[in-house]
Amino acid sequence: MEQCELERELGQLHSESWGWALACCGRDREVAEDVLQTAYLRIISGRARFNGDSSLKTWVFGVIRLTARGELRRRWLWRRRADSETAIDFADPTRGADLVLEESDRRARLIRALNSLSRRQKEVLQLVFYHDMTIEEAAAIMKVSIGSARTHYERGKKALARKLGSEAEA
Amino acid sequence: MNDMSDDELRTRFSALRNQDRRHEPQFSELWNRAEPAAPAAARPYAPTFRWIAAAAGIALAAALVVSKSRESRNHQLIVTTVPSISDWQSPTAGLLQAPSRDLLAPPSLLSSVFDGVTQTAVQSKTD
Repeated sequence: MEQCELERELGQLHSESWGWALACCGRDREVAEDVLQTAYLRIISGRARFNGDSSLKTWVFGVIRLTARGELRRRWLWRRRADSETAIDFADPTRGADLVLEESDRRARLIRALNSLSRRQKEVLQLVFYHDMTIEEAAAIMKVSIGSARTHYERGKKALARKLGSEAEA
Repeated sequence: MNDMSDDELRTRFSALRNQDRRHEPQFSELWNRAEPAAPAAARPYAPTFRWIAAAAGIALAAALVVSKSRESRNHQLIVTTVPSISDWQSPTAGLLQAPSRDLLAPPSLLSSVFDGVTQTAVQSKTD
């Protein structure tokens, strides 16, 4: 795929990519922006290559997911080292401090409920309900079997509904 | 409590998506920031690194082989210098070679203490 064509296609996917980057970074906008930029950098430099095995969206989401995991691990290590050296309590980058204040209550409740789920459950629900993907596509991005993705989906959906229901009652 | 439909979940996620899009960074901004850094990120030194790693591996293997062969040679030397058990002598064995040892030794079987005396007497008579 030519660079111009790739740029155009990625431009069209940008909103979706942004949403996915946010989900992969615990909804921290600053980290998500860094991750998305790094993912684009990997694509431009050829370190991540699209070989046509899946759809472009699936491939880009896979690159973003891997980049986010690497970035979060790097930040975690850095924070741990900084903690041990200076004993300063750094804010958790996976939680925006201003999140609850600036978001609507409904959205905040959904985020809280999502955060109570396991990583795999969160990912599959995000991909299916937010990005309108099938469980098969979600499985390809998450690098798990379809059966496993389906299990995470079912359990995650039940847990999310229970959590949202109990919060609504409270 | 548990019967939240898929549609309701979709509605909630849709609201989340709309909110996220309000804070979305421009694609061109991120792309243009990434583009100049791309040649550096392509890592042209990657093959060099691979060669260095391969050379280091070969050197390590050679060092291992040399040290192993030296070790086995030393082992062989040690084996050749070890005396056999039948040749072994106590370090104080020399002290036991005293002149009086023969006198103190017990007489042999079927012999008499007068053997020497009678033999010398008979010899002197014949002379």
